[in-house]
Amino acid sequence: MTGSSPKDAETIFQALDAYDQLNQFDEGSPQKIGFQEIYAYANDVTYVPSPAFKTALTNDLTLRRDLNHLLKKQTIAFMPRAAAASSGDINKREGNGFSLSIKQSKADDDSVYVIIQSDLSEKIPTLLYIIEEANTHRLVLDDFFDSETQILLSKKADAPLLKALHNPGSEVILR
Amino acid sequence: MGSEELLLEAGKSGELTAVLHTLAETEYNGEPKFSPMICREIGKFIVCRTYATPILELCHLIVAAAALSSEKGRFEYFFWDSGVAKTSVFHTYCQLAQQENNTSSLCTVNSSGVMLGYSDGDFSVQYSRMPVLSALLEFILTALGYVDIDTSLQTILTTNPTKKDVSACANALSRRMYDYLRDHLPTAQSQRKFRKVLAFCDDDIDNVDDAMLLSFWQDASLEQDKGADFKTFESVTQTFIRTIQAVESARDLSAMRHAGKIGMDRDAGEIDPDILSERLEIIEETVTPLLKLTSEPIKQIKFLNKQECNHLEKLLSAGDLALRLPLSILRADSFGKTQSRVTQALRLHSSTQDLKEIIAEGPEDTYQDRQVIYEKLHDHALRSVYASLHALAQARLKDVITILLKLEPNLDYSLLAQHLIDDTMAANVVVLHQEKIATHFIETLSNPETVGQDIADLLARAQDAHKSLSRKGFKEDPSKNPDIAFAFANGAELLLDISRDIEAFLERLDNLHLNGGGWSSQFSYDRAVFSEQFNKIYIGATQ
Repeated sequence: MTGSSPKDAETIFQALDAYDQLNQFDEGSPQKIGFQEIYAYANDVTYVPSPAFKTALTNDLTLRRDLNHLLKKQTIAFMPRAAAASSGDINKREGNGFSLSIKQSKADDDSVYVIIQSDLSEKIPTLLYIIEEANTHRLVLDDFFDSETQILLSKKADAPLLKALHNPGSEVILR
Repeated sequence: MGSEELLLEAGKSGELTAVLHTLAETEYNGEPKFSPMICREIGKFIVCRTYATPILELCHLIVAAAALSSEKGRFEYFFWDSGVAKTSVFHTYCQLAQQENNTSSLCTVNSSGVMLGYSDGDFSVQYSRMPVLSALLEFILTALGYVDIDTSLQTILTTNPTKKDVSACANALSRRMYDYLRDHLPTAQSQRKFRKVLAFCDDDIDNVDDAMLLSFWQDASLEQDKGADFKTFESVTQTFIRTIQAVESARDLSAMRHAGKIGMDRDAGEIDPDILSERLEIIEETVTPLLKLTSEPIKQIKFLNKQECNHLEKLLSAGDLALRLPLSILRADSFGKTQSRVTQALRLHSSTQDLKEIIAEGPEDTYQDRQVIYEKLHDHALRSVYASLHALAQARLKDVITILLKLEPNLDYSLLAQHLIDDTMAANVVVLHQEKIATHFIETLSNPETVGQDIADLLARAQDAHKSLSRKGFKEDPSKNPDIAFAFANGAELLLDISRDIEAFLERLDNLHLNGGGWSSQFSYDRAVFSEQFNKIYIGATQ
């Protein structure tokens, strides 16, 4: 290696090689869940979570921690978990001028209404999140009329979400 | 190096590659949020460890973002609600924030960027820096997690920060990045590859030629040592190219030091990160045109499609070394695909018989086919330059002169120059008649009597090229869209560079002395060599 420092050449090679390795990915290469996707899940009503994101929501503790931190930072209403004394399912929650109740549909045995009422008119939520210890659920809200919105859910199809809503240990955030 | 260490090394690069892959795939409304150029810039910050200054800029931008937000302190809106990471997008966002009075005494918006007026000094961030800083933040949050970083940022978000506070916060972030990279950036494997190649060529990279490279692959690909990936011919070619580039670059560095053009490095035996980054940039220069073509706004014109870029990638990334190792480039392009098919089949647990069939099938293209592909790409690149020239001339844009001079530097421009001087003077005097003057300029350009027959012929060819290209963007009028004008002007220059690289490579292939006589015999010989080697590597049989 006449005329050059072997140490310098090795350092330059290491940088080039690392650079090549870092840029060597194709469609099938592994990915992480980027913050952009967490932000979209926490803010964008049109965002459809990817299968990888849904899996990460239950498996990836860091992602859940990041998501919950972001949700709590930008919350419009926070409905904390029920008091320690509570036992059994809960059908009503309250927090920051909002109330949420779950009511059976009279027309259809399989359907229930999630009704959200607001005392405040300044900020209207568009998304609802239910945070459980091991999962987070999201529900896109319909428009509010007369400070109220109703969402019709199926007991079968939306069972995990309803179970989480009834769970006294879960927290609800309106965004 | 033990097998556990090797696994650890592989895992290191895997995590980082996954983060960079995520960055490259990040979308906003279905469009890539960060251009390939931006993503590679982030890669450069990482491998050269030049992230300290960008992190400092980023921290100041976060302060600005928080100040510009409709909800004070919420820096996230600026980065994730603004759109695709482009200079123009951030410019518009800042202007709108200013109009909506979302500014504070701390942050002011001006025509080139934002200015932060701290009690202990000012700091400016240009709009043109914002896309890459935005990508850096995305990288940091994806790699290190939002909770920890957001918590660290509170010192500059919740108080009226000083410049000193921002510096302290940036230093803390840099330290976190350093710790992360120490755990994730592989180095030992690279060192091993470099030393092995140097040992093979007796520490003299000037000895390296196509035959040596092939011989190295034939030996190294059969070794069970997992310390370095020498199984694929492509990776061996790449390693040799990088080794030569690194040694030559170190020679330049040594010469510059000797000439006193650069100072001594901060620590003995270490290259200053900024100098290392510069070295990388110089080496990467040849592949940069392909990346630039995929960046905004140039990508609004489809100069090259994905397949064409793939055909050119190896040739261009080799730079001048493509002329020194022409057979290796051809071999990697042709037999690399066969080897990829074999490794893919292995991943899918295909049978030995299937592997044998793929190997026996060989590459789709012969060397002559490859040369035809390069010739077509050369012609297409040149046609695109001519078409751009026509579009710019029609739009009466002065960039046409730059392209003309670069395309045909030896033509006689004296007649045209005379008319241009007259036209410029007229334009200064009679502003209302600008269109008439511009029309006259075009007439001047295409009139053989005023510009000479050579330039007139060249412009006629440009018109034909423009007519023949129907790809996206080519029919856009650059006079109505500054982005399209920029794309034509800059795209044409990049394609001219690319066409010249291909031309030089084809010339080199034409003059290459082939042992077997012609390309057909060379291909047959190589096919036998590669088939035998693939069988040895993947099937374990000696034919």
